[in-house]
Amino acid sequence: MQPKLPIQCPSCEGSLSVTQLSCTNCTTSVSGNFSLPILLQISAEEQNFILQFFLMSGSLKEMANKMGNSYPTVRNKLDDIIQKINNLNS
Amino acid sequence: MIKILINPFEKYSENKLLIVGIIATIIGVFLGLLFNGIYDGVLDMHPVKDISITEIIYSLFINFIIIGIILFLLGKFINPKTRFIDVLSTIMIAKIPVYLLTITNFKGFNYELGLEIQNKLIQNQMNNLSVLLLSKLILITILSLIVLVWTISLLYNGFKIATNLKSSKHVFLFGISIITAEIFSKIIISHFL
Repeated sequence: MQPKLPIQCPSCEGSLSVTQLSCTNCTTSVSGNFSLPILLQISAEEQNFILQFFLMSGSLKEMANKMGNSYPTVRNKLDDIIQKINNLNS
Repeated sequence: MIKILINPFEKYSENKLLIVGIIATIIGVFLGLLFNGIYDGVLDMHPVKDISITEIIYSLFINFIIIGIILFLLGKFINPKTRFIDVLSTIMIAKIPVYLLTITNFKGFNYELGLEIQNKLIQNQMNNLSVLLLSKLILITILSLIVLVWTISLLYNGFKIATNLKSSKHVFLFGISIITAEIFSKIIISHFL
């Protein structure tokens, strides 16, 4: 099972940031305080949606056909994610 | 199955919904003709003694124009990306339960029930209804309420998907729009028919 990257603190629901990165090849560790990229701050389902949108060359119609949903449903999902990312940016 | 009856707009494309809507409208016209029902409001139908196909088509046409324009304008206000085809398919699909209600006027059942109740009211005998009459009234009321709830659910769900409706203020405006469309429909249709 692929572990999910947590993005929200389970204790206070604040945004998590990266404080340590390690190299699996030579065991070098890098410490600091790195905020997660915007795309990693949204849920896995939303990330997958954006990836599918990209792979479908930005065609909502094709996405609707593939997902088995109506065009407005897919468009609304995209608009909600755009709103979420705008909120994260601001 | 229940989800498809209450909210087919989530899954089905606008083209499929429109085709079903058009077929349903044609069937609705014939049901109205067969069972003498006129669609003089957005949410309801009224049983009559006699009706022509022209009157039914005219009433439906006025209904669709009024509710279509009102909901489309509201939709554009809520979300500029609202498409007319999504609003049109919503109003056509939402009318399906109303078409089914015409069956309650089989052999003039609903119309004659209305006349009986009217007579009782005029004679001030509403507290003296027979068990049979009361049962008929309760039956028609229950069926009408089911159709009303079902129609409003379809309208709301379709409009919600078409506009990505979220705020309670917009839901309130949706409610006002439906009532406004109902009033305008009744006035215009009764004026010209």
